[in-house]
Amino acid sequence: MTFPRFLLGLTLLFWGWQTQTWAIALPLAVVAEAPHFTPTRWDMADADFRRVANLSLLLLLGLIVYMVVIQEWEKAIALLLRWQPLLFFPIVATQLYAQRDNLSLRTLFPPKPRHSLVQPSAIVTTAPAQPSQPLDFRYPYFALCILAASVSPERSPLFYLGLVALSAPLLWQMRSPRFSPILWSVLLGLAIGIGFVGHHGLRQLHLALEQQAIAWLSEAFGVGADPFQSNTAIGSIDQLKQSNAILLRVARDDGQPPPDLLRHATYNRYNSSIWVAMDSTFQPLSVNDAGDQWWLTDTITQMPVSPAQLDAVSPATLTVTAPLPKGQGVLKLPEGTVQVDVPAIAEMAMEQNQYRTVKVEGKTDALTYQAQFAPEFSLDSPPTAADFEVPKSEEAALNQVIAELGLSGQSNQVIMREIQQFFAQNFGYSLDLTTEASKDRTAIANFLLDTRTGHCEYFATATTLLLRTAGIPARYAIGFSVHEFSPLENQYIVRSRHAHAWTLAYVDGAWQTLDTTPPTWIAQENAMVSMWGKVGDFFSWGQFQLGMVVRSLRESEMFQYWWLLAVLWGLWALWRQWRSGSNIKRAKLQAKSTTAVDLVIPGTDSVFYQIEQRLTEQGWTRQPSETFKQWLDRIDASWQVKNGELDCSLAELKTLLALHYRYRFDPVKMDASEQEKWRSQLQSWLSQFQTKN
Amino acid sequence: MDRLRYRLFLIGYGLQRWLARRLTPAGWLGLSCLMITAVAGSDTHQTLAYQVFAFLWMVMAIAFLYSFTFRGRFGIQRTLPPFASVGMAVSYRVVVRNYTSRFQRGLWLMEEIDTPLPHPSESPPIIDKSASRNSLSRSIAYYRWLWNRVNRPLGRIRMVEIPPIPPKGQVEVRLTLQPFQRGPLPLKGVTILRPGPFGLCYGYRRIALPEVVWILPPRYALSAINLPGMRRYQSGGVALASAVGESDEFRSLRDYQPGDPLRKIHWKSWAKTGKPVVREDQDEFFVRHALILDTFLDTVLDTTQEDWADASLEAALSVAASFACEVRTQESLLDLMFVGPEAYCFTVGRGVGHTEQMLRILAAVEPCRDRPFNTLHPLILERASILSGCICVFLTWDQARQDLVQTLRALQLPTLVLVLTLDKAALVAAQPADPPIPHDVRVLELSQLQEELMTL
Repeated sequence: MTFPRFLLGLTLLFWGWQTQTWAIALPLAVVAEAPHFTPTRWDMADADFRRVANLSLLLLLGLIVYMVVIQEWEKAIALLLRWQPLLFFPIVATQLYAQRDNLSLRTLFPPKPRHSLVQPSAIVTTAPAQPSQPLDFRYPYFALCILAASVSPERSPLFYLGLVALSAPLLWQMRSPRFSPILWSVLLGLAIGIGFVGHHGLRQLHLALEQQAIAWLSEAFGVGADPFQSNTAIGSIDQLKQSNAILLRVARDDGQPPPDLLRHATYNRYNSSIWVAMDSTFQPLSVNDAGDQWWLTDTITQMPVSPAQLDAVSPATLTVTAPLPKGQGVLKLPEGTVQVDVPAIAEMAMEQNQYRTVKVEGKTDALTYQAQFAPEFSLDSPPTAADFEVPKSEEAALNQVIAELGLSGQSNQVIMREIQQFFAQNFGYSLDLTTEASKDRTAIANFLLDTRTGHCEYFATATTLLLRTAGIPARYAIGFSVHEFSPLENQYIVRSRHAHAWTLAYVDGAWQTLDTTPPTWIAQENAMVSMWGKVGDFFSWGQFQLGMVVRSLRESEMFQYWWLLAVLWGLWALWRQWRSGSNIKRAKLQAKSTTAVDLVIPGTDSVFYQIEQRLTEQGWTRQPSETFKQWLDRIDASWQVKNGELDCSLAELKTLLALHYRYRFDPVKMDASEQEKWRSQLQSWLSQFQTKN
Repeated sequence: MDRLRYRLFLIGYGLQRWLARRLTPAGWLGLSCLMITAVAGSDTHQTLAYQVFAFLWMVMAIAFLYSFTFRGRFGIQRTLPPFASVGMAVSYRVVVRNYTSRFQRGLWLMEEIDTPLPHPSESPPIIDKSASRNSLSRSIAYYRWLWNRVNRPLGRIRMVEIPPIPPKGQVEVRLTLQPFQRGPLPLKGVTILRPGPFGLCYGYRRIALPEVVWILPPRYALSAINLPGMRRYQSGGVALASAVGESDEFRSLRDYQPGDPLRKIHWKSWAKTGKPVVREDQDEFFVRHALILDTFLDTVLDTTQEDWADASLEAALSVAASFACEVRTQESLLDLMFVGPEAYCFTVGRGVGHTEQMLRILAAVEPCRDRPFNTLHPLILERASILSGCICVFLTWDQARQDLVQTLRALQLPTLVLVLTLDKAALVAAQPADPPIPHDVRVLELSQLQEELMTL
């Protein structure tokens, strides 16, 4: 089976057309088809082939590294496929320009010996290596080009047409001679037709599945979950499992310990275990011209804090590094934050709502920002009616507790102190919520009156509602607790399980933090961490450092010239190749094989061999052990049956055979006229035979 | 052994065998592309690979369904050589008959080598013991062992294209067997394959034709061996030497003594004299050599070096086979002694058995991994009195082997000791200076085995 002529070049051009890489595809196609027109070949050893294969693998590795650096995973398949024809072209070009045709996968990628000390000759004495099957790399390369062409930015039917047009010659070449071209065409037409309908069906199926998946996900996680709404685990009967993964890295510039709490979002309406931020309206933050300083807005004055005000209180600076999945997120900020400094990133935008929740968007997957904060500032909006609301279902239990504590008519300070003491003295912390509570009461009522055990969401919710019942406006805040110092990283780290909830109470004209969760929660959670936590931390640190390097690379201008590095590396590799004294030599195309001695066997051009081939095709196959004479004698019997009426007799052929033997083996050659006569006789016999069959 | 793992392996192996029979090389490429496009085309927004998948799927499906349309009746006659040797290709004839009344073109012939699957109760002999492997390696070791066991046949026979067969006619094709390892190579039958219209899938007819080819260990050329030693009285007498030499030689008649065998009674003389008379034959004296083969792998090298150990054993078998061929068994007997699953002794020479039989036995020798070398001692000592000399082929030169050689010398048996090693210098260096390796113990390096055997 031979690979169809010009098919490889056409496939490369198809790839160039579909992926808009003409500039690369055209030269590759020319190089791939040039061997048909030039007799120049290269004499290459196995080691040279291996070097070429290694070059291709290194190019592939380079592409993977590039993918890691740019981190556009959603386009990973397309990117990986698109450049395959370029990456693996060296291998196929080597095959096309090499003198030998017995390449195999083992030549390119030899298996490593299991024990390097084994003397090859010692093993060979008794167990010869199994020879591997020769492989024509043009076939897999053809498939690779078609696959790469499928990364087409255009969705036109021409791709399918091209695919079919290029595959048909290959399938024709591979077909068995048993089958008529008509049958082959009908079957191929069937495959093309059903394939066309099938790929449309697949596309529709994928779109339908995608829609369904989006619907399911929305249902499962809720739309706009974060800044607008918080689904708590209040009321669910389960054991909460929290991740030990490191989320944030926090350091205060003046070396002091950072604030205990970093606020993420604030909510003001509670119902059925869900906290919602009512009428949340996001406004863009003010930003300086360089785009690296953002000022939070005072919700009363609708103005940012002035530099003069800021200088008067000498704010502290907290540096936070946080992931920003898909370039979106909400900043975790300490209380009293007035300014956020971030490196200028393309398409960066920050917005703030009246509850001081700051949304951020930008083309990055992680963000390091400095928050300037001073506890004197409180930029949250003043209380509204919603900050006094208590769900009807919770009122009874809350009133009972207020009555028990005798909070009616007390000052705000006393109420806050009493409530804090109430929780500190009577409640315990637990993530294990498997105890079945009374079904007549709500989860919060059960928590306040019965179980008196829960996690931070119970404490924060109950505190918020109790304060509201006692007449103090309160909000529910979520964020992270900062308390773990990592000696490895020499900064504070915040894990996923450090997520926390607390209450903001409006007392004396300012929002104050009230955290009633027993302080033992930190110790209890630490006790649940497995011994592998430290190992995970180490890897997390490694990943963080790598991420920093990658980001700095991407953000540096040098990164735009990465291809220059690749070119330099390629040149260096070529120079090394040349220096290593490769024995590749130019050679002219030889008829066949690598043997230097061109053995010319006299008489092998006899016309008699054509007659043998013709008779073989008619079913009179000569056995390997038979001489021509024995063979003709054997077919003598069936000859009459089939060719009884024919003019061409076997007896004549037998006479001509004697002359063939003379031509083939007699050292005294026939003279020219004799040869001519014999040849013409053979030709006429052959033509007679062909016309009758 | 875990039955589930075995079942999984069986399913995987069966699938591989089935695909190997169904798919042409182009079909394998098609199947690989189908799997790649299934992954790459899963996101129809990113690539158009789903179009390639749909087309390829249909082409493969049609090719596969069409492969079931192959009808044909064929007859096979195979002329198989009884023996082959490792490393030497053997070509043989197969005659294919077409019983149908239509031309059969574009067919291929494939030999089916029978690969007996390991029994579930059989555990891998070496891999489990190797302590140096990591846990991943150990966990997949069993599969690797199974896979190697079934996928490394003793030999390979490439399929060949059958020339067009006329209606009711026959053609002859030549197949080539390339033997890789010694042992009996069972052939199940032949399969006639027909590539489909796209050349991706085969339709096939299987014809059962069970036969066995024995693949013998490779032999080395040896210089003429002259083992010193004398002829010894052989208690078996003529029974062991039926054809040649001093057999059946009449010496005298004497009176019957209690205990004489009945067959020795000379009936004619009894009739004449009226009392029982027995005939005495001349005692049998002839040369009898022992070929002692060391198959004890565990003591040779530690188990992490299984490649080395196997290579040493194979070399030892080859050397033993070379001796079996070289010793002139018309005039002497040769006892092959070794320990496999149990202790064995086979005798050839003077018409008792043939060299081919001994080579066949050597081809089937299994290494002994669970017993010490001393197991061989009783077998040798039991026969020491009738032996003229010993040829020992050892895999190492440790105390147990030295003790055996000492014992043989004490019995005044001339002994030729060959020790095979990968590294001669290391073996000599590891040996204490007192006592040094005796001069008549020949240490042979595997990489130069042929050269060193010629200098014996």
